[in-house]
Amino acid sequence: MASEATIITLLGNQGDPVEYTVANGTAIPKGSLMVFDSSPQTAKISAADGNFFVGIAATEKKASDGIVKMSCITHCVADMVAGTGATTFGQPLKISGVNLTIDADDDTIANAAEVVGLSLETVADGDSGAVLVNV
Amino acid sequence: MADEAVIVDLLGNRGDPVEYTVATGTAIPKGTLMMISASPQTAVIATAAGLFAGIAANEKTATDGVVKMPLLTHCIAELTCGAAESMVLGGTVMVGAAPNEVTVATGNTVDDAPKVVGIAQETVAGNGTGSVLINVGKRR
Repeated sequence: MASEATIITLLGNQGDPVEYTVANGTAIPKGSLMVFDSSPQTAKISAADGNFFVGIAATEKKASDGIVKMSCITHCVADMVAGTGATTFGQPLKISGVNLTIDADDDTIANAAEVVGLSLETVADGDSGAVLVNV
Repeated sequence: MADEAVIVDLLGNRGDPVEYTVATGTAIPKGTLMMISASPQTAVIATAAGLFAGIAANEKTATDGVVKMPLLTHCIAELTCGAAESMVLGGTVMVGAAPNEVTVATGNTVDDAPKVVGIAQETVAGNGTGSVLINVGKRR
């Protein structure tokens, strides 16, 4: 895949990892932005606007390797790649594509679960910028 | 300056400090409320309703050559309200009219979230001081 996040600083207790169930048949590169897939506590790689962000894949997973649990980092500063659209410092970000983020514009509490983190840099489409993640 | 925050408890990993760029020509007292001011990852002393970044973990004097400052992002701190400002138990607060002062946060949207300094742990009237739970970037 591409555009995985690069963790700069782990905050909390080693990044406060939370374990999610993932599909055995799917490869998940380390640093993938992970989102809710289904209940209970099951996650998949981010895909599009509207996904509910859960954290950043802490380890690498190959397809069909028998692994069905993945720790997701929930508290850190990480470099993330901007999707097509504005990415502005000081603004909450949301998922816009696979491992991509843009400014959150769904301005309701109900959409808070879409928020990936607080942007610390203004970056152009396709460039990387630091994001404070605190799920 | 005046009314700098007094840290009561460091939470997370020693307050989860995050390093920001600051202006070398500016004095920043320890405990100053800081806001995000520019890209990339640059902070200044917070003004009213600023995008809160954290609390200055160190003392910095003007023109001392220091251009990086760790800001505490996860703690409980004693913060001060201005004369016509207040905080309400369980409610969110944002930076008030003067530096280091806080008041009841206005707005309740995703876009308003970065202005939130923290959640008041007590009800405080004008010019009073009360504890606030700070957890910068936390989704609400």
